[in-house]
Amino acid sequence: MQSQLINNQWSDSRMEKHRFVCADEFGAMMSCIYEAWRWGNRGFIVELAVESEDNYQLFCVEHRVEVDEERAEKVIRSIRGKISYRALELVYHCAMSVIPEKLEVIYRFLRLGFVIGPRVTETLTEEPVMRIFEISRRVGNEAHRFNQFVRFTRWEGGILCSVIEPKSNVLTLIAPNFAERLISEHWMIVDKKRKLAVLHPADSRWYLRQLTGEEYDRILNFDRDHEEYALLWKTFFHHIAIEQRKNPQCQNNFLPKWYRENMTEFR
Amino acid sequence: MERSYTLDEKLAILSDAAKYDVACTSSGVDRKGKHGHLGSSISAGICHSFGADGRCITLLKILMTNECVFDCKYCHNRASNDVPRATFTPEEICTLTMEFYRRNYIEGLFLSSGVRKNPTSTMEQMFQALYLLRVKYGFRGYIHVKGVPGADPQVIREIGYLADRMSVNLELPTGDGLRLLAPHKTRKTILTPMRQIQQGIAQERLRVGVGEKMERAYRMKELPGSIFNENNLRLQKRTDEAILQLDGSGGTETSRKKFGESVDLCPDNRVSMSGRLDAGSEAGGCRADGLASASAGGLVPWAEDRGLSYVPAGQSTQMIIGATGETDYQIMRVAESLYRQFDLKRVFFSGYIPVNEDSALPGLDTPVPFLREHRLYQADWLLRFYGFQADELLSEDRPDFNVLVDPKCDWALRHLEYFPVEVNRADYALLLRVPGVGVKSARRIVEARRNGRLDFPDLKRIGVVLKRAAYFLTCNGRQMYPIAIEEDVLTRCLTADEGKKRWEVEHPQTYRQLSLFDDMHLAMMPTVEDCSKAAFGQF
Repeated sequence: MQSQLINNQWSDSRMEKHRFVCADEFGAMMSCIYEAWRWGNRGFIVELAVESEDNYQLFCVEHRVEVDEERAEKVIRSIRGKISYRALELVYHCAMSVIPEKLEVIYRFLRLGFVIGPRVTETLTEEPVMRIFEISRRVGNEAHRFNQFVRFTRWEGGILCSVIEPKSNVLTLIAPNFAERLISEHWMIVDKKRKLAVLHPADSRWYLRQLTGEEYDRILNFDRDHEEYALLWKTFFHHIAIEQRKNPQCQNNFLPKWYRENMTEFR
Repeated sequence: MERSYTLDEKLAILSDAAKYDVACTSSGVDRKGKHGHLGSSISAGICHSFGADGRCITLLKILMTNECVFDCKYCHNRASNDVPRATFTPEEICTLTMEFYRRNYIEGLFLSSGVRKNPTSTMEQMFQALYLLRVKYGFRGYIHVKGVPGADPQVIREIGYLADRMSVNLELPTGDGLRLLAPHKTRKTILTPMRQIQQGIAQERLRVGVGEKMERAYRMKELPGSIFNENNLRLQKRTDEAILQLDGSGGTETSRKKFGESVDLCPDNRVSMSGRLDAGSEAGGCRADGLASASAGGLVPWAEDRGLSYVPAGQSTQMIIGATGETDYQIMRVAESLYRQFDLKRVFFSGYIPVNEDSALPGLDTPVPFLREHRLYQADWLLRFYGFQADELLSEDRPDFNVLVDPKCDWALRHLEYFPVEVNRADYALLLRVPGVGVKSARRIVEARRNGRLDFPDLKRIGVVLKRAAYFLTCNGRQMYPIAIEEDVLTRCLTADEGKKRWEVEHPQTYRQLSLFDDMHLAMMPTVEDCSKAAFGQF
């Protein structure tokens, strides 16, 4: 009797949507994929999303998935082994985006990828593949822009500090570039919106860290505009432009205004 | 007289003086970071800012000094101009570069200079600054250094080990122009160091086993029509030499003599440029004594001990457009010859900006030739990435670019016999020639059609600009619009769109300029290694 009831429950809930929600963090997203995958395999209708304020939905069962390092690592290993490295790269970039449906896009891309294999990244005619390419390209471009436009200020004690406000979560995407350039320097880049920082002690590996309120305030209160070299840089920046060729529109195309707020030469 | 300035004032003077140099790329060399040093370099290059003129700022572009004994008529820093003169010390150049680099303002240093005393001593001082920067300060970022025409080959040889890129400015497209406007420079004093650098690069490349010639865009060395195809290079040698006036017609006896009195410009050179070219490897020496052969390609132990390589990112040059009366055809032929015979990585065009008043120069109210410069760059792209030759784009009878349509459309309209092109069959070389199809789209078409037949919506997704390409392509035998492939009809279709763009290029202050300088490195994705570190840095 009881088992019949459970069976009914199962079959009923098969008609409903199951919504898997996790924190906006790569490990959590991969754990979420793992969990949703199992339900999907049993024939449930699944939908995935990262947490945000207004994503409660009616007529669906919501599952909250926490980080599970082991499961996350399994997913990553499978993507790399059974699809390709390129696919993992796409997934990672996409996961760093701010687009709300990113996790759903990743899920549908992987569903396809585990069937087709490495060739999936060439089948651009498939919708999920196209989407993940689009999103990951947008994130990649933004990361590239921050490789260009990050500006450091030197604190007393020699630490180089930079504050940025990226749309995508680009810190881990840009850190390798700076670790290479500034290999023997102490530096940190702070994502103002996420209160996240990537830290790099000289001659050592970089790491990511959530800032405490106090740390955050201290960093933001630091004067970034009156350092000797900041002033010299402004001088250079203004003198290197050719008056007769003035072209603000062209400048805006390459350097959209929202990046400028944290750039020395525009402050 | 030079008075003493603060560092800030010097920087203002010497960046103002350097801003007319066009090149600001940091591409072409990969160098990892190293513990205890500062900087690295990636071959795609990184732009760090964009000035009010929309040009990218990649390097700290400065003159070492703006004192100059030369009197090039078009130049802000010419000897006869009364402008404030300043000079950086080598230490100042180093600290500026290091501190700017640390703060991620720049990718490296672009060091040029006015000619103080004479070319050789100027370059020796530049050498000192760069030596200090690379060796004492351990700077591993990008360095672009100008070669001063007439400098001793020994210093050209040695400074090349400290730089990633070198450039000697051609200044003007022809020897006549040079005689008229740059009396202290001759074709010979410009092309001699250029040849020497080319040979140094070739030697270095052979030593490390990457082939004598510089890398070129995808398949450009094999396409039959391409200027980088070895066969064309040999076939065109004589013509190219004539165009570049390598036979000596570019430098006159009088200009050299007059000059020789104030400045030591290798007066004892008895071997002609072309004679030395034929002789082969020992070219480049300005003096005909033992020094020339030792210095042109000789060993430089201090550099080799440190594992430095010679001008790894190659050589470039630039010329002024519109100060003298050359046609676009002449200019393109010169550019093409330089690519072929000097293996230059880039030729830059700099639209003439009037800064001086002189009877030999265009008036002070001459507008900057934006559109002309734009067309020349478009054509330069066609040479370097699309397998075109100058002769296909222009001729003696049609010596200037069409103002109405871009050079590629213009070519297509005059060669309708090739069109329409069937997307699912045409080879890569032909796809490249279709207006609206870029290098990326052509490659993607070739890849994608292996998996199935392509149709117009697929092309759009691939990135083909159908607004132009539609008239020149068929997919599975069908055109996108039922339209006659006739010159008049197509010209009308294409110019309707082009008119607005043209206006924008000519009026950059009011409208948005085409993203011509969208050099390859602007939208580069991070490399695979970067992402791998990123993906696993957290776990």
